[in-house]
Amino acid sequence: MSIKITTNIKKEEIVIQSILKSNFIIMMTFVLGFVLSAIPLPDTIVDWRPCWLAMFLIYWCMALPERIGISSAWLLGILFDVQQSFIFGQHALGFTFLAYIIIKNHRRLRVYPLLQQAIVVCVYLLIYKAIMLLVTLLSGAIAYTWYYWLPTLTSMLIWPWLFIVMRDLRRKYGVV
Amino acid sequence: MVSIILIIIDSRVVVDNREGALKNFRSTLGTLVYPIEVIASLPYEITDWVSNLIVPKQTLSVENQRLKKELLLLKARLQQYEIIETENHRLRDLLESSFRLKNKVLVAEPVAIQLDSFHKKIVINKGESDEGYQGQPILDSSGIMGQIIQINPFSSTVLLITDPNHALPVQINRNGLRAIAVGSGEDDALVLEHLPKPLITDSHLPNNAHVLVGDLIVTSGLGRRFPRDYPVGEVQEILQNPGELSARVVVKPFAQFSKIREVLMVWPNEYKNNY
Repeated sequence: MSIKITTNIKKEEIVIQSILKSNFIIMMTFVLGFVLSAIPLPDTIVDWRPCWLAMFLIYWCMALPERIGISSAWLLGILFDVQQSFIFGQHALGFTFLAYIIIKNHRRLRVYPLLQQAIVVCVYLLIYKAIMLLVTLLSGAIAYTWYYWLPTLTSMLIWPWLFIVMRDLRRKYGVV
Repeated sequence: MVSIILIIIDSRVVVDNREGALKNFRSTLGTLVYPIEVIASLPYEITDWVSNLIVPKQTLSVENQRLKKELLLLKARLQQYEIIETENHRLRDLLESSFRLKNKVLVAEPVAIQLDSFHKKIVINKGESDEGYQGQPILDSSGIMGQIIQINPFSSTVLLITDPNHALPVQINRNGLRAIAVGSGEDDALVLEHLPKPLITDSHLPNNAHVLVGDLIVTSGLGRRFPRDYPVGEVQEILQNPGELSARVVVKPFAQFSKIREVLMVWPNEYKNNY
């Protein structure tokens, strides 16, 4: 009887530890997303910077919809708004939208071939960028050029590689 | 839903340009993400440090020579300036009008953080702990640069005057004609608005309210945010549209927005007696 209890406790400990570890891994990827979207780039390629944070969010929503959901997306958006000094709540709204639409479709997205996945991600990012543009225009002015849409294109091109790297990372560290 | 409410609250702050209820919340979260900014700027800082470390001695001595010459020139000019300033104070005393005290200035450096390229904003490494405040004017060595729009304990975000959301009250130094310089979104152009209509751009006409190419544009100090008489830029071109009364006056700012290395935070002086 007592042996059974101790093994149960051990099991629980292992579960808790693995949850903590996966939380840590997920947080680290988001921190990486923040860093990648703030790191200085030369003027020639700065307009091509992919939406890193949104892509990491899409990946985790797709892989672990029961862990990373709308509320974490909202929190992430608020932090992103503060860090990039956007209007408060702007990216919170955009990320909430992304999380919702990905979680709705995550089963379908998972079985798509990589290329099709990239195209779907590109479309979602286009809608997200459109929401961001709308919010900015409603509350002020923006130096708008068609370059505004370039990040979605680079995100689409990078998505398959990001997906493979993230999947391997997730499997290696057993993030559940 | 919550984010929509937040957007509405915060955009009201932007529109009315006042310190909103969310200011403290924002600066707390800003401190939370500060480590990320430090990490993001690390590669740049390291390359900067290394390239400083391996500068040949000759380059340094050449630079030293040049700086010494420049210092001499500036000192000579400062002597004149100080004489003129004391004279100005004396005359203003005679007239019993207000005179300006000296400005307090602090040098800040931009953190190597790139914000969204469609907004003209930079992050600098001084914040509330250095007595900075929201709305504080920021200059560089040659002209007005922008103002602080978000202040965190250790860093702050500066809205540059070239951002389309920024409007700067200015006047033409030659004749005192007032206008508003609105950012165009490009690094090398501001657009003057609220000029008189029709706009006279011919110096032969006997009207001193005209704008000419090459006119010096300075801050007018209206709005009480920016100090008075700081150089902003010079009129680069005047595009008169036939059939319209107004003209598009493009000003080239003096501040160097493409390569910002150091900026000055200014505490504008109080007027001795407001009239």
